[in-house]
Amino acid sequence: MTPTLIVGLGNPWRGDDGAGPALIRWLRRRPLPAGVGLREQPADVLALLGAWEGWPRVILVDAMRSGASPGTLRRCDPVRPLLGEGFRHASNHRLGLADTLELARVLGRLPPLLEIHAIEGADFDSRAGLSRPVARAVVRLGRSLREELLAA
Amino acid sequence: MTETRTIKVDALARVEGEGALKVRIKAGAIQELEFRIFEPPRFFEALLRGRPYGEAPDITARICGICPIAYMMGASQAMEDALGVTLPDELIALRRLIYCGEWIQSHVLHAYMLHAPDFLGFEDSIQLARAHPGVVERALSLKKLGNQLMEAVGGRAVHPVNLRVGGFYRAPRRAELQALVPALERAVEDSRETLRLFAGFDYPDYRTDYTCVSLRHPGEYPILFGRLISNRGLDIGIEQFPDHVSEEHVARSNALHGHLRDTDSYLVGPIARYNNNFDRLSPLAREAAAEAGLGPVCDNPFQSLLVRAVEVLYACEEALRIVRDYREPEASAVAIEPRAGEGHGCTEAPRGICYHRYRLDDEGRILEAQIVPPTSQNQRQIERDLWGVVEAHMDLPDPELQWRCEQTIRNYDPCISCATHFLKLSVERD
Repeated sequence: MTPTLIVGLGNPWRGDDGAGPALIRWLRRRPLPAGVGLREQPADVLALLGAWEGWPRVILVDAMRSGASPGTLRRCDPVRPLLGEGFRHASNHRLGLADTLELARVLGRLPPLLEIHAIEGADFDSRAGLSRPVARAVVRLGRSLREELLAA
Repeated sequence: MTETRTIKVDALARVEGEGALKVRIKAGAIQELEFRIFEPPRFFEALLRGRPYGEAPDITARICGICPIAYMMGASQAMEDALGVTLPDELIALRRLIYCGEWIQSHVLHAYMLHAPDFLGFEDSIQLARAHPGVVERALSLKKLGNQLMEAVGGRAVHPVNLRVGGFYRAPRRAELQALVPALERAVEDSRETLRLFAGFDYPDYRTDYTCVSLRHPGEYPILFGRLISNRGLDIGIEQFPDHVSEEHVARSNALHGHLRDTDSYLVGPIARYNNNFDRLSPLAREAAAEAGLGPVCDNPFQSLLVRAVEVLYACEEALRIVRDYREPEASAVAIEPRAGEGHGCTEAPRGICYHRYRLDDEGRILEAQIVPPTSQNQRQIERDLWGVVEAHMDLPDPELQWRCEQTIRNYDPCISCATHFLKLSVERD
């Protein structure tokens, strides 16, 4: 299995923005193969450039607000339009994810394999806890990632 | 001329979180100028009520992802004040060390990635990276060092887990900190290079006679401790903060404006600290400031870029000094007995003084909390600056004027996420 770092982005105190960290905590409570790293990144997205150094494969998980129904899961490859112009982040990452990835690309610091999983959020108000659809989506995504990693 | 120009930016680029700006000009005069920040109504202060005192650092750390240390230190010190606890020097040194890490990573990110592009005619740090990859690599290296300091003492760079009221859960071993010496020495050099680079920028000639409010300490450039002073005669203990600073809920903005008694607007942050404490900087930092064209007082908000760079240099030197002198403490934390009381904590976050006050019951549970972040104190000053900049540049075409306004706001490195909810982006022009 290719060593894989899974990063959950988002602020757990802004409602559904906490989807990423919630996924990491879900995965942490379950056995995973050796070679899987887990990381919560509630802020400071730019620090990823240092954090993912040396990992051949990186999976980023974050909340999104795209107009899809809450709990919708989307997977994307960073070169696709999802992270192009006009994409705004439903969180207060200091340098947005799109900018950070583009910066990494310009500097030649993207990991060899990178995929992004986004979960459509419903509510990003200041509060702790996920909305129901997002909490269920976290479990769905967690199960799917875990199955894939165990099968590899 | 009766034509009305409206410049409205519903979300500002390259500031932490999001804020909004509206300027209305008619017949060559400013009719309306609002810098709006939206704040979730007292979310954290309400959340703290009823919680045990020990939870305050961890809860308040979530207020800001970039400066969690400022909140953890303010909260810890306020609780220690309430509970009659003092920390030994070794633990205070560790706190100062981790705080240096926070200053470094916060200032570097702002200066290089958010602010410097303005001076180079780039739209963002990506354009900067394309044109000058080495410059951005240096920024990342400095920022990484800041994060490493926070990890070494705090256990984690974002929302450190090792800090508590009374000290730490675990004190780092001397060898763990010594391992950072080579990186720290490089960082001192990188900071000097940073100042040399920034010294070459063109700074708009805009001057303000600020009322500068900061901590002042008899023996050091203030980070954790000091009296609260201004350049206009204010000199009080931090426990008198609530008597002198009131929070005004301004109708147009959900953020609270900090209002200093008998003063129209005031400034907190790097320029305020620098102006009030230039003599407390290290000789190297003072020399590097002079080389970069700064005197002992800076009155140009655009040169906040230089002042931040000076503070990065100082913080790297200070961290190196602390690491070299570090002696493992006998205990990682001081013992505490919960009791009723009220306590105050005020420290210099990267963006300026951050004040905490708590009242505790007999069991040490929080009855009341008050937190005043630096950016809410700078609100009115930011608006004053915007007024001046718009008046001075009214003849510019709208897109350029808008960019100047955004740049003016960026001068303050406002941490809008210390207080806010985010907005959708839209730009309108009448």
